[in-house]
Amino acid sequence: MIADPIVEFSLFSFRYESRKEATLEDISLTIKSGEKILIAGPSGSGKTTIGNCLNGLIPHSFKGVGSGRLKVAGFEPASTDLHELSKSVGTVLQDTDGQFVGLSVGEDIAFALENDARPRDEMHTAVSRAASLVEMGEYLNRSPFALSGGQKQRVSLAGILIDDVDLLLFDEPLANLDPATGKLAIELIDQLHRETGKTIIIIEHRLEDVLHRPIDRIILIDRGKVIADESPDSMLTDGTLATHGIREPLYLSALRLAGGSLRVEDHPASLDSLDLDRHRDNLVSWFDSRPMVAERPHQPKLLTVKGISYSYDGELTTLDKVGFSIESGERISLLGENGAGKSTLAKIIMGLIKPDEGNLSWSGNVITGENISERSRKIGFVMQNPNHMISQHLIRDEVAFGPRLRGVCEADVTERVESTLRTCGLYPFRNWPISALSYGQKKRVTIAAILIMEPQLLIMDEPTAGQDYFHYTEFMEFITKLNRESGLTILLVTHDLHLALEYTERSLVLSHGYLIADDSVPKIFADSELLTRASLKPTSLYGLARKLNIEAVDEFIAHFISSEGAVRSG
Amino acid sequence: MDKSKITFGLSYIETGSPLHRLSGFTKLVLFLWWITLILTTFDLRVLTGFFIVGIVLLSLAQIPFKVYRPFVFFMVYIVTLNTLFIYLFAPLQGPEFIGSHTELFIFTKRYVVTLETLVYLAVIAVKFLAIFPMALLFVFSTHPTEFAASLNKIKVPYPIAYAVSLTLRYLPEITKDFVNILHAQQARGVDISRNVSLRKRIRNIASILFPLILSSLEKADVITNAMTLRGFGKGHSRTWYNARPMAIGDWVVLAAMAVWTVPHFIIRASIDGLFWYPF
Repeated sequence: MIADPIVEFSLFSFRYESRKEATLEDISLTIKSGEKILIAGPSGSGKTTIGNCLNGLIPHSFKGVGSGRLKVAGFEPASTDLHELSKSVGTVLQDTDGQFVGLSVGEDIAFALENDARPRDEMHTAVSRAASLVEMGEYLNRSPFALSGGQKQRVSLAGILIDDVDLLLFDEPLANLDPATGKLAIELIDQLHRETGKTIIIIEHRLEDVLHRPIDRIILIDRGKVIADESPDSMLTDGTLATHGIREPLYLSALRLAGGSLRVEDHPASLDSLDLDRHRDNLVSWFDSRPMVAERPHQPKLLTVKGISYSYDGELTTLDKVGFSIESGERISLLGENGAGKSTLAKIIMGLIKPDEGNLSWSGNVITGENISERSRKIGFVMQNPNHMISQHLIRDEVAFGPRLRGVCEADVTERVESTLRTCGLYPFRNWPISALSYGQKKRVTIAAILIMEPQLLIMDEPTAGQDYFHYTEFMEFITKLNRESGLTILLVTHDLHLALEYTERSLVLSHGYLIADDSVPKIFADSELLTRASLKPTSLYGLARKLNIEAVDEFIAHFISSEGAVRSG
Repeated sequence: MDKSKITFGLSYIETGSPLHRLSGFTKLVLFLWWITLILTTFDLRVLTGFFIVGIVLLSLAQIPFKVYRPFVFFMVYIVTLNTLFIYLFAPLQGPEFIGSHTELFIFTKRYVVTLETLVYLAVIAVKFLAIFPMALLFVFSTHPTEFAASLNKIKVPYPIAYAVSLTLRYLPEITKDFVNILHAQQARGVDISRNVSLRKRIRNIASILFPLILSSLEKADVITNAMTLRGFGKGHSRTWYNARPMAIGDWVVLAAMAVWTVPHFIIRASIDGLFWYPF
């Protein structure tokens, strides 16, 4: 079948007005009508800029200098009215809250039609049709505050489908979703693609999750250039992805660790399509050669949480009799879907809210009554969004903020700031304004601003949010080093299973306010029933072990973690 | 996500009552008409009539009393205080306006209570009290976007009308951000309680407002882009998904308003001076 091209970039370059260097350089690529494409690349690679060129935000909302040629759905975006272009290109943005402008589901779906001044009856018919396409037909009167992130995303999608666009553009659709919801989103996109035949472009760096359903081509972008433009099978056979900061699927990492090499005929794009025959013996002997792992010696208990319950409104229970303890020097992940109570528990540990029941103790002393300021001397808390933490203009001042508030004398402050900035690799930037930093660098600054207060326990809330594999690996390796060298205890609050697998030894799993598991990471990741119950999803290592008929899935996962960790830290 | 402990007491509540089924336009016109007529009369009979009708309408809206009980107390408090102070500042305002002087009793030489004073103060108090039930009714029974739609219908430009509904949409989000930022800063030792000096407290509050403003501006950018991509601001007019079409009930209410307007102004004109005073 020869389809018409719907997107054509030829030698296209673009530079934002505020930047010195071009964000896109000599991009040439063609996307045919009806294709399903993944645009992958690390943060700052220019992949979002490509999206903004397609939907016309560049040059209509973001000003800059462009050259070369771009045609989208028969239009040249630069000389086309944005409104007209939006009838052909529909965009689902990453921020599920920011794009939900209506006060009810129905109203938000109707937004584009309202702006077209269509009559009311026509809107109501069209809205119920679009809502049922994304299975939100029963929620038309719901307010956005009563919806989950996944549901808000579906509403946004319906709001675009209502215009019968030709091209659907998804900008990091997985960024704000927990694993189970993300999987459903990918399935829904695939179903739409099959049923409507519309062209689909997904911009995302979580490769394995997108490949849960077939993709026609992957376009790899880095530093503003097209690095590769191939089928998933051929893209996954060489190591191109990893060198450009994209995490390859875990089952392929395992295959490589076992010494195997991939060919296109192996169909590596998904675990289901992967032909294991050539690799089976390799993997099994790799697994059989695993060394005996010594149990981690027990350390004194640092934090003990006993029978904590909490309710925001006195009716719905957010946490129900949660109890566990953390040993000094441990690396722990607190897992659970959005709304499971993870953040609430973290806030209780920090002393930001008081539990209704239960108590906390620190090295054996009860600290339930201690206020935030006393707790913050022991426990550091790095929030998900660095922009919520940064309050100073210069990096130096931001890092010095905590000690200054504590009344540390200025000479000591300077010394501590400099040594902290050195450990965090930020020393060369110390006199920079924070506004000049990228999101990832800002994150680093907030970590430095907490580490300077020398906490014994560091809690990080969703550290990978808005971070690609390359950038989070960088700062997580650094945190791991602190853990190894100075015994910093780490608690990661997350729904990112890759992160938990790579950087923690033990997991606590919360579901609907109950602590449903507290065990070693390999044991938890080998329990697919448990993960499903918590709206997380088993990783592909589980599936691989099953395909290999390996019974001791937990040991398979453990062997993978230790082998991979050894490779990663060089 | 988290259910915030902060809730907004004054907002739309769906009860499905006949008043909820009226179009937002009718309710807006009714509200404006109600205020105009009350402000143009000083007739205690008419005002009491409005007050009673207002109470009846409010009860027809089936809003549970406990929802607006705090506002009732607040209103009674304000009206009492207001009336008391009008008397304290100008004890003889009533006789002056009405033009007669019927002394009832005397506190001091300055503070004399006359029948005219009582009528005058009653008019002031009932004026406030008569507007109150209609204001509550309007707020509780008009969906914010329907309100925006009806503002647009009375010729307020739609970007301004839409801003009303956007504010209500994003206020809770900004509150959530504020709580997050407050927590982040408190966890670093920022103290905004009374334990620190006022100067320090102000400086500490600034360290919360700065990130809040930045993150709100960021959010505004995202919202603007999302709205532009879906064609907002393009045409000269827009329609409203939530606008209720005019039904028989609406025409009945509008007709009732028109019918009452005529006698209202006849009564108003038939009185010598401003006040109705039978004695």
